[in-house]
Amino acid sequence: MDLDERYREILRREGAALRRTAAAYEADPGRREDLFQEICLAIWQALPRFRGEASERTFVFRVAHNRGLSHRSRRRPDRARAADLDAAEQVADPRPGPDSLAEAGQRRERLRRAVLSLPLEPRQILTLALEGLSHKEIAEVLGITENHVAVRLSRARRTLCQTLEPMGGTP
Amino acid sequence: MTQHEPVEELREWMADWQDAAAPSPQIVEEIRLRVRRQSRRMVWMLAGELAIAAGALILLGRFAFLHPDLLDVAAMTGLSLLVVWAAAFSLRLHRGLWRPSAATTEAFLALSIERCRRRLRSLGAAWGLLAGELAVFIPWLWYRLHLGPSAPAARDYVLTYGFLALLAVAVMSAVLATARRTRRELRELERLRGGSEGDG
Repeated sequence: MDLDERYREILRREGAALRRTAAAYEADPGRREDLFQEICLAIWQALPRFRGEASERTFVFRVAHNRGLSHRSRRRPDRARAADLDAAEQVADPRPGPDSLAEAGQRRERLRRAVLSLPLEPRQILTLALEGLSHKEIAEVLGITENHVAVRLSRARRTLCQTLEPMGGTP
Repeated sequence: MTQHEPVEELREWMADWQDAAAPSPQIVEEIRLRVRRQSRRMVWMLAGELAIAAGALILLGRFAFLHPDLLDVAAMTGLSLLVVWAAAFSLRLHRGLWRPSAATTEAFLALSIERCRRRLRSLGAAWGLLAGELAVFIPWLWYRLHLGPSAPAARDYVLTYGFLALLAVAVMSAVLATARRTRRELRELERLRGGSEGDG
């Protein structure tokens, strides 16, 4: 399989996950789409250097999160914080969403906003866990030990629960 | 939510989280076009910088050839050395842009922080470059205008020093703005790493 085919296969398999990863770093829909494209671009550029030391999935998420961090660090800190707070306020808003929005859709949106409102570290680890990565894979992506993954994930889960509580518990 | 088992709770979140739309196929083509544009732009910018440096060296050399006065030749040689140094510096900066990303997020942060620090050091060097150019230019211009073989017109006097002052102000503004942006980025990166290390 040549590089172009591999790239297309990665995008077909992980495209939705990469889009969600972008959503975990950027609240604004326009900027989110730009970030998603930047992530795809970074994967395409990094793919020739991938030697198979880790799994391809780990490699893809590592590049995606690095790009997300880079995207965030480019923004003015006060604006990034304002966007986070805005997302958090939307989570805490007890009013129902538009009638046309299905309950499942509202639940997904609340979860996305709740994740986005978390501090960066729990947000990263939760995003990876929600994509179904094992502790070992998360450790490889973040460059920490599996024990730290377990501790941080447990803490992140509690934080997410507290963030979602004003909405009645379930996302 | 808290009454749920953590695994079950996470599974529910996973189901909600992963239920999202797939990317549209045309995105792939858009990305290919974008990377081609970016690559072309970077190559053209580097080529432009090197062409400007080469052009400057040719002009300085030609001036020195046509004006074999000792002070003229010395000034042109000094400026040529500064141009060569600046071109080499620019090449080094571009070389950094092609480096691959780090292997882990922690390493990526450390690398990004190091890049910011180096950029700040390079901005310090830019002050040195500006000071060097002014140190050569001002005495040389003074020599050309006041002690040279021909007396300058008032218009030449104003244009010469006016252009030099404008150039110096433009360079200083660019350096200050870049330094401010880089320090802001560095603070944010260090804050991110601080949070990460605090729990590690």
